[in-house]
Amino acid sequence: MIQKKICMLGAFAVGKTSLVARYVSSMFSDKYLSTVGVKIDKKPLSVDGQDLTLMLWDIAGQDDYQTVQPSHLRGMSGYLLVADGTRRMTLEVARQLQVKATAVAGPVPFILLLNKADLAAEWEIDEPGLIKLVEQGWRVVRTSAKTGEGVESAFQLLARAMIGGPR
Amino acid sequence: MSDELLSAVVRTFNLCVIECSRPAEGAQTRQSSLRLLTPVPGWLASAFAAAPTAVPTLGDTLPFLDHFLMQAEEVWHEGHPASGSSEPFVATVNGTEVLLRAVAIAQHERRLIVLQRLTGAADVRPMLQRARDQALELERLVRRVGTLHGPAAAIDRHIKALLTTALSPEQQSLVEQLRQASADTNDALADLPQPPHSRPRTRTPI
Repeated sequence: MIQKKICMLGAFAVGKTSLVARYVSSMFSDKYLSTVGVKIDKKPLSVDGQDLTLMLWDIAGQDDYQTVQPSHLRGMSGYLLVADGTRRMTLEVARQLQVKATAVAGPVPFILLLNKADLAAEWEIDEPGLIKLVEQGWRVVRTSAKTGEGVESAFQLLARAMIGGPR
Repeated sequence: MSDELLSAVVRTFNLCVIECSRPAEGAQTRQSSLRLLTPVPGWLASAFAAAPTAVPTLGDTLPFLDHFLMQAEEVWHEGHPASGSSEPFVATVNGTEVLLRAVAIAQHERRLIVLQRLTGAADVRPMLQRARDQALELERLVRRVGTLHGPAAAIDRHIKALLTTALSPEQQSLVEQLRQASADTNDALADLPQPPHSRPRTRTPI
């Protein structure tokens, strides 16, 4: 079976681990548990009749304490950039990580996930900033690891882009 | 060092030593050349419960190992005593998340991987958790400070407007006290961490 490596990238506490847990195990916990280094999960799926196994690399959030290791990005077929819609600065970290990821892995497919869509009342990321990103060719999906909104479809969308299928 | 002593050291440090033979010509998989040199450590026992000698399936429990083998090849390729270490990584073994580190060692012709479970002070997760919880608290404080500037400026404006009106000496004194209290409040606000758009802050490059 074809294996594809996907990296989860973003600032700390944006919900990368929760998104993987929601997608792989349909589970969610409100408690924030910081990731150290990297954790790899597998998820089989079928896209347009093609069976694949996604190797999901949940990479520790970027901050003053940990930086994303280029060696962890090598060989990835695509990545999910995760930002927390209630924390504007996480979008800036996502932008920086996109540059870093492109430098290491080249122009592989990626999707920006604006996570915590269930906290709409606390939303900080404004539409004009997002429109600019979309105009630059970024695909943006609102997700909630808590409710499951957009999670399955985001992984499916990325998997389809990685195997070169219709978007 | 005697074998007994070496075993005690390996056990104490939660180590698992694997030898990776050079794949034979025409070998189908790289995993087929892995061989355990130490007893299976307790933390990894469940991975071998079904098949005690099943090193080839270790990658199912520790998928990071497949990735690390590529890094290890660079160390082994050097061909003289050398070593290279991975970053910490997390694996789920028997339902428990364990923090591990892998080290590749080239010792003459032997190609070794040492897996170590990081525990105690070497397990940085609790410390990192506290640091990030505090960082999130600081972010919340900064956002809250950002919401206070508007009301503080409005109070200032109203006090200034009051001071331009005809006031009795008593009222004048009260408004003057208000003005001083507002100035003190603004000084205190200025000393608190500010949102990025209020005051330029240096960012740590990545």
